[in-house]
Amino acid sequence: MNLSIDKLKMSLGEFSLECSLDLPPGRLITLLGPSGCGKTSLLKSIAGLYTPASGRIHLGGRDITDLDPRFRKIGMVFQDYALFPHMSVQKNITYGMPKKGEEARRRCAELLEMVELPGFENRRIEELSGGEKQRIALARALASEPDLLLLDEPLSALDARLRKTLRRQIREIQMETGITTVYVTHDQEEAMAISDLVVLMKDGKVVQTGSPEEIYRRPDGAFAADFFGTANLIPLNEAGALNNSVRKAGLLTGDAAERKLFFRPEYCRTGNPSGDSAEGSEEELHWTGRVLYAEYGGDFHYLELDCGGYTVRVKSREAGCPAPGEEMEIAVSLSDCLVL
Amino acid sequence: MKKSILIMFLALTAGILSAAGNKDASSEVSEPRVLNIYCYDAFSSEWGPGPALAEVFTEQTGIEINFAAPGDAVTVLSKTIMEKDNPQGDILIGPDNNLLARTLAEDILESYSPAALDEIAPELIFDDSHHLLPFDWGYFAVCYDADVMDNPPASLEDLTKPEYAKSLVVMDPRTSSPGFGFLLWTVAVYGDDYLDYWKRLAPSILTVTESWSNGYGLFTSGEAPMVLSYSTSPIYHKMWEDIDRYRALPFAEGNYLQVEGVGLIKGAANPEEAKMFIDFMLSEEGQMIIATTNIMMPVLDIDGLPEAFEMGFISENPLLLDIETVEAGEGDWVQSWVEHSGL
Amino acid sequence: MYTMQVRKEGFFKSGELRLLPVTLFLFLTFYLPVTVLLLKGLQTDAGWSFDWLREMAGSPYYRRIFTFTLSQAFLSTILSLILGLPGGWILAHLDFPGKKIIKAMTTIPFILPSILVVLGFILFWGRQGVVNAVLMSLTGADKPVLDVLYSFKAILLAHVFYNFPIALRLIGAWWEGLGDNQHQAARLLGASERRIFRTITLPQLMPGIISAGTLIFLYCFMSFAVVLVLGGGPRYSTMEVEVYRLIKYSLDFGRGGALALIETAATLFLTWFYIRRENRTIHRESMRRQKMHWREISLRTKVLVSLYFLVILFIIFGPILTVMIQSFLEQTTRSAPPVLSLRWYREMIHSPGSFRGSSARLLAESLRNSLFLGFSTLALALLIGSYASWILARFPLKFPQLTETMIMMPMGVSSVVLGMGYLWLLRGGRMGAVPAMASIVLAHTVIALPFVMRALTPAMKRIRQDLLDASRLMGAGGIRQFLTVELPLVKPGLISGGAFALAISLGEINATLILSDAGVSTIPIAIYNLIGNYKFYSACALGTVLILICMAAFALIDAFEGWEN
Repeated sequence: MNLSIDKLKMSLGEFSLECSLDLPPGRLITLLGPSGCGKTSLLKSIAGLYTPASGRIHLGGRDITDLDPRFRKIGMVFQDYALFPHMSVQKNITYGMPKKGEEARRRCAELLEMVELPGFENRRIEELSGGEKQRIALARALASEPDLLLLDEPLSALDARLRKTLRRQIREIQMETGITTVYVTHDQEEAMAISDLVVLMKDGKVVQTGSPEEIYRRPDGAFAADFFGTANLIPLNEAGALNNSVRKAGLLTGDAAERKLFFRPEYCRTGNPSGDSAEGSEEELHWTGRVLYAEYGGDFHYLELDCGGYTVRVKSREAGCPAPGEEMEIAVSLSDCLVL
Repeated sequence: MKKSILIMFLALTAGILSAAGNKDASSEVSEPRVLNIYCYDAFSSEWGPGPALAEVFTEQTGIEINFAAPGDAVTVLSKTIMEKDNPQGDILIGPDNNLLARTLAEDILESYSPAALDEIAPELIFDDSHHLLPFDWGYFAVCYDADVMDNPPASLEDLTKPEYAKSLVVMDPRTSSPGFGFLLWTVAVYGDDYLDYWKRLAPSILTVTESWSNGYGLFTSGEAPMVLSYSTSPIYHKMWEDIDRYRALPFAEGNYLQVEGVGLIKGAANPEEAKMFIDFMLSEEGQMIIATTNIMMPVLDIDGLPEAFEMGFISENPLLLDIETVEAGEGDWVQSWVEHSGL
Repeated sequence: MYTMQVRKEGFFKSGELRLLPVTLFLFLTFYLPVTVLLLKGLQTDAGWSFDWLREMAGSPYYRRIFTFTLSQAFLSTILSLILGLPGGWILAHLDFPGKKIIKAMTTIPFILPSILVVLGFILFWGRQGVVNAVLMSLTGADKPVLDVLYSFKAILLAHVFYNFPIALRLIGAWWEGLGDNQHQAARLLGASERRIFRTITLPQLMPGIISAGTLIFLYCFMSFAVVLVLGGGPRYSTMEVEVYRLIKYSLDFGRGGALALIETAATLFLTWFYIRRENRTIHRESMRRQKMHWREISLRTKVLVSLYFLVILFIIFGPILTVMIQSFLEQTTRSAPPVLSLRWYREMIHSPGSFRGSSARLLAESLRNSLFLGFSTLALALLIGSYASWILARFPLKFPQLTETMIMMPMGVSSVVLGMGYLWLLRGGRMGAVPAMASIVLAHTVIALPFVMRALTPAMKRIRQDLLDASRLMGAGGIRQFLTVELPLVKPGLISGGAFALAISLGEINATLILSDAGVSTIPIAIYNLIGNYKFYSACALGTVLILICMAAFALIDAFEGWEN
């Protein structure tokens, strides 16, 4: 169901949350940002647990701003799961179901099947592992077939491998049920992996909204570029020689101060691409740099090169991983670059 | 951790303070001639006769006095009984005629017959064996507030009249010595029919308190116009507060006697000094101090009692059951009272 | 220190052994004196026998008293809990100006000698009391309108007055530990506030409620003066009255011991039952809760909270305030309206009837003794209590419930028995080498310990294991972990337990009298002596002083808390 947030405002101590969003139905939308950026507060305002100072929230065309949370038809998975420790798994899941008895039990079994924990009905909460708790919380949130599913950093307490499995499961369940889902996380990799749409936030404001690929390829500013993946952000006023190439390519107009050249590390090619060591051909930028740091990553190497005054990050698929101190040459196509 | 450190510091400071304060007290104890007196708490309290008696006695004889008062008269008696085999006290002050049977049964006192005994009215000498010697006395009496009550009852029988509904506070005989005294009083007057009297009295009783203090508090705070107390109670108010609204009532059937006793503890370390103190208690000077601070009648006929003592009365018909009767009947009386008094 | 691991087994590594100092302390100050007296209930001249017990159990009279004792305690407990529940919610959810003061004031009933409480009740609820005076002038009636006292109602009222603070504080602490996530989750799942309370909050508060309920039940079970005076007569007698009669008054140690034995067995069972239950529900995490400020809450809540405080003010502070006000009033002539006067305060210092002129020295000494005893008890009870609860929470015990029950036991034993036990212990100057002050502090600590344990142990057990593991990995094992991690985490428990310990010590009188032979005067003892010598209003004045001292002491405790933050 379509969720639209209109000029929502609320004070969060040192800064205030201000945002307007229009979220498409049936998608998984991620609220991404560093901790303390207001994403959880936004989520809880949608849930009705926080009262915004002003603004409206519409869910499926219905104004729910002043609606009691219990009538909003919203399911939520809390960061600490907030399972009721004194109840069995089944009691937890059926807690919010409108129907009781045999039907509720059947639905509960279906949900447990869906989260791949069949037969867990009578387990006690304290017997569950973290991953199991997370899945039970998800099942509970979906139990009453809500219009909207909210997940508040649902995987943050779990280990990396389990996170990957569970995020995939969440995504699959979301696709299967087609429920509009708002997912809060501070992990960009997670956001990138499962989202249809990412809402990037900072200090209470929305920085950029777009598909993961859009944000990754065309970040709207240095914060977005840097937060959403690894980025090279080279200050143009410090790299005078680069300026010309960039200007020629039409990427830069006007003053160079405060502006940065952006490209992703994996767009760099390494080795000796051409004999031309000049710093600017028409299509490419070239550097000769000394390796400062090298990290063997299996499928690629991560390198940081000192290119005379600034550092360039490179992800290389070349067979050999260079050692620190080695000189090497790199190039990046101007079509892969942006000036931010 | 600041908190606990601060608390420790406070405790330490207070400890040093109190240690400093107690030092001179402990050095007094090490003086050679010290008399250990066991008494009930009100007797040795700042406002009781103990400190005044001790001051004068020490001045006259040089003998220091150390009071030990672990509680009321019964508690002191218990303490003395528990220490029977290894007595620490020299004198026991407190058991009254009602506790005589128990006191004698435990054989904790030494008989002593001071010269002053001859001058004491024979009906006050409640222990013929002279183990417990009378030092003050009074009657149990119903006291009333003359400000709120115009026509006080003149007898136990009067008390049962409907006009006195819910206006009397009495004490529980299970836990209080005036309460027990009142029960004996009704037994002395009505004999085996005492429970019938209690049933008739029940509507007049506002409440039964567990202690005299509580009951008398109810009375002075105006909750009830009548209270079971002592014939001497009004004397205090007259003497120290100049209030004469509180009066004690002599009853036609007579009033039950309470005589408080003092005795020499068997095996006491300082029997001679103890006898000196008992003699002092039974001297005119001692009697005056006891009468005016304990607010009880002196056992000696002394001159110069404050005028207020006229508020007390002499009953024409003082009542006292003999020990054997009390000893044989008390358990049953109390139990029957609890179950059948209608309260 | 570093080897203190949960895994170590065997008796010599068991918690029991580590509790040995506490056990020894309890044995000397509590079990020894009490057991000696209780065992007399099993002794006749012919040797060991159950004759007394059989007689007691067979008597319809004692059966009736037993039943009454149980039922009045049960009803009082339920009422106190019901009244304490909203207060617990307020303490856990709201921040408002004066919260600490109100919290501190709820502990006052504990410090007041029962005689002043009774007086307060009579001055407030009595026939000539404040409530009736107001009602009479409103309705124009010439007789008391409200007949509360001298009935079963009055007993319940007084018990609620005494024990509601326990409910308030313990339930408040538990509620705070619930956190608000589960509540929010339930709301999103469509549950109404009523359903959330019934299905989520109440079940999880239950351990706290039962915890408070047990303490309250034990207190009411042991109740004595209040029941007799306010109930109106012997038809409302508790077992404690009979124990008092038999042991203290009739010196009938056989029957008295047997009755006390029955009483103790009942409380022992109750305590054991409760601790067993608590241990099953304890393994939960304690969560932080965001408190709402007074300004942020809705008008409806404000009204309800204010209404609640009005009721509390009425029930709890009504009687107390009346005592305080009474101490400033004097009736100069007959039937004249009372006027403001400091006469009773003057007479407190320069008493009529005192041969020595001024009692100022005595009062100063009493004050000093009371404060010293209070703070020493506070320190010692917290020390022993936090150590014992730490052991109970962290080390494997062979008989965990039994061990906890043993520590809680001083709550369930009649003060008459304890007092007589001390008399027995002291007999023949056997403890002459122990300074009276020290023995009193020990006795007060024993009496206060159950309260401290109740406040600390659940909190200690709820500390998450990973937190302890974390601190151990950072090198803070054993005692350092205890001091730097665990104690700060149970701070609310420390403060609440400390407040109770202080209050109990400030109000204690029986053990103090017996152990010191009246050589150590404290404020409550001075109050009793004043009353015993007809100086009733001066006693009110001194009671007022005691209340003010207590408030100052609680303010001090709160200040410690404030400094640390």
